[in-house]
Amino acid sequence: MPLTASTVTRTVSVDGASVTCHDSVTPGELDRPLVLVHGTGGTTASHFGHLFPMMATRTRVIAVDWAPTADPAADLTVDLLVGQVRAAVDELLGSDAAFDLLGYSLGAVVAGQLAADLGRRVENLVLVAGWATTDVHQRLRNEVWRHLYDTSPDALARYTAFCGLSPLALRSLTPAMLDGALASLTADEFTARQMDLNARVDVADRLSAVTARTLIVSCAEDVMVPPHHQYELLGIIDDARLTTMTSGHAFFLERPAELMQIVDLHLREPDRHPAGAIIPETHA
Amino acid sequence: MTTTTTTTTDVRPAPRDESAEILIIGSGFAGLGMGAQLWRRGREDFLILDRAQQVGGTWRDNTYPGAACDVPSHLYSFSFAPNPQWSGFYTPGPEIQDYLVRFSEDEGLTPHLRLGADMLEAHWDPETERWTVRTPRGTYTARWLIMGTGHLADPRLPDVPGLDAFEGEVIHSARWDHTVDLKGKRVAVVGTGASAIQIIPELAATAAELVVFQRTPAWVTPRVVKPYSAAVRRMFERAPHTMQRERDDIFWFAESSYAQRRGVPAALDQVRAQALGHLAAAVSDPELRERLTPRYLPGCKRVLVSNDYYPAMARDNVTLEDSALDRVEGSRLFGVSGHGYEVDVVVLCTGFEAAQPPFAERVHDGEGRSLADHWSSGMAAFDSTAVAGFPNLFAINGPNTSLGHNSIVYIIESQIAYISEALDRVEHEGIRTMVPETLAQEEYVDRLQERAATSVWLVDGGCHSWYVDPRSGKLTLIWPDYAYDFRARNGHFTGEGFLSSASGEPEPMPVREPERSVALI
Repeated sequence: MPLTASTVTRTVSVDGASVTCHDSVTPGELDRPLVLVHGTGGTTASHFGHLFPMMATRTRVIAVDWAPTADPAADLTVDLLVGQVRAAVDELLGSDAAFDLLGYSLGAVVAGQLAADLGRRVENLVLVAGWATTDVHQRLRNEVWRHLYDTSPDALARYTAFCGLSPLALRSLTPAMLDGALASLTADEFTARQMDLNARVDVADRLSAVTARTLIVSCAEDVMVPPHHQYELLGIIDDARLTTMTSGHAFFLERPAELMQIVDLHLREPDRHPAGAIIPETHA
Repeated sequence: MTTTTTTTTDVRPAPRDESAEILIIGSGFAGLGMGAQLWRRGREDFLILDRAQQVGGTWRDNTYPGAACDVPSHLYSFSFAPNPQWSGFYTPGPEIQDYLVRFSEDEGLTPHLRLGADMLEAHWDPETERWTVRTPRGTYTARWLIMGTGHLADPRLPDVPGLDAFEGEVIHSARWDHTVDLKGKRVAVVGTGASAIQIIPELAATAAELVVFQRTPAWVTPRVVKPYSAAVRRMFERAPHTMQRERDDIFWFAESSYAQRRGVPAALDQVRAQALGHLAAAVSDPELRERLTPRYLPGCKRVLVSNDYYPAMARDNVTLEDSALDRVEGSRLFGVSGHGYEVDVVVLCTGFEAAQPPFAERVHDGEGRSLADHWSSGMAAFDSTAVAGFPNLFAINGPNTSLGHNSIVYIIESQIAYISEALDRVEHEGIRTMVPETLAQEEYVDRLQERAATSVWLVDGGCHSWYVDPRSGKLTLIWPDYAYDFRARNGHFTGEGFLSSASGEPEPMPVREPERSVALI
């Protein structure tokens, strides 16, 4: 199913990997395209099922689905994923075009790195539930994840739901909805490689080179990448401001439209909040 | 309906004529909310006029059996007057009416109310630079006029040959006649919109026979049933942030459904599957199911929520006539299909005069031209709030303000903030008149129409919904974007697009950074 009526989806070959890119093509009121980078185990459709088509009503949106490397035994690295995104963007936009960039979770690690590499080509950077250095709290979760991945897919699905959604969001699910969600929470070998990378992330030094105007988005009830990581990013990145949304890590299930508001209003008026600002969450 | 009606009924001798700085027309959510915010900002020089004898607007008028709101109550209420006592996720109409009556009293609005004051005619006098409003209880003048007349105020009656001569009772849903006993009667319901699907289950249970005239089937989705226990209500009262969380969760969930209105394929598929599954679970007869299945894009007409509508349609004493009411002969109603039905009572669930509101006939500019005349090709306003050619007038819940996916109260609060800020500017700068520039209004409206063109309301030629003005085909009722986007664009007053005069000729108003920190937002 297409993300929007106008969206063109095709593959770009990067070092033997077949990377899928989605391009909404049609321009909008914003003058730069927006590039989206999904998170661990996700795709454009699963993580940006709301954000992609709805930001496409504001501007041209491009998103990249990562692909396994040609050599399945090779370790995944941040640079490898950065290379996939960069190749796809250069192919679709040309290698000089400026754009705005958003990454989520591991995609935020990738997007931050890409922004550091590209300098002024990335005008606005949005990092959602990102982090710079994996800490012991994350490693413990990662080790449990690995154990369950090796031993019990059913327990792994439950553990992922338990960690991914906020307690109130879980409670709002009917039994049928919970069963449906658990059935959809499967992990494959490529996801396992991304989890392996998650345990090794340490990009604090490289992120300090980011010059883009940056918005950091923190999910207040995130136990996978808790808010203290986003406050660290606020300290690392020079031109950064931070805002919060009430959600677990899985914002795309809990508050997809709130992230849409945050991104839409920020890109409409990116200078509204000075570097260093903590932008309060809005309430209905 | 309520136990508190007498205290808000203005029983003092009617003064013949009065003047005020600000007149508000209507005492529903818009008028009461506006009055409360003026009062909270220290203004006392305003009056609220209403044609009825009680406050409440739509919720005062709609007392039909089963009347309830299809927006969850913690969101369908003022953010600055939360109510921990809502009985459940969705609440019945009388509970909302009680809330509004209590709100009016608690906010000290009673002395400002002028009830039984139907705005018969209003005009702007360019000499005195004031509005004059004629009502049966006196004439009112003011420098500022704020319309809080709403979209669901004046019942729309269908033009059906023979209906006038129908031998039994004819009732419109919004003017329910509680003296008519429907028990054991043969009843016809005309329409299958938001009011109809609430009335039909109630009537199906009491009437001997019920026939439902359906022009277009509705998309109907499951209704969340979630009563709040006494303990939960006390939690909300003792820990208000828990109530705010409930409100925010409801708001953002509703906002996410806006993707359906933009025609996002996955979002449309999801609501289609949900609604069709809901239908299939309740109606086993494949032929009836087929006739209840909508053929247009979900959301083009309001997506409805009900758990008892489909079961009611499947009852033995209920007949679906899947064509519009064509004519009435004596006590016999005929559908366009040619089928006739003998009935005792006709219940019109035919909606409201929304696209061409009757109040616009009564409001006149400085040259005596009516607002309806200005709006002959469809309602239009700058920032959805002020109208070129009509100085010192604001409209709340006027053109392009309704939502198909979220709470109108959120929009109303945004407009109240805009108007409050405008009136603060007026006060600080000694402004006497203020009016949007025609060009600014045209640009604003053109942009909205451009956005609307790719929405489910207009794509594929639309579905003949009441959101679209039949004269021009323009989407004039609906805000064609997220609710948050309305607030971002129209929730603050900057002066941009306005001409104003303090003394002498009008000139472009200086643009100021909006106040971002108003209590409302």
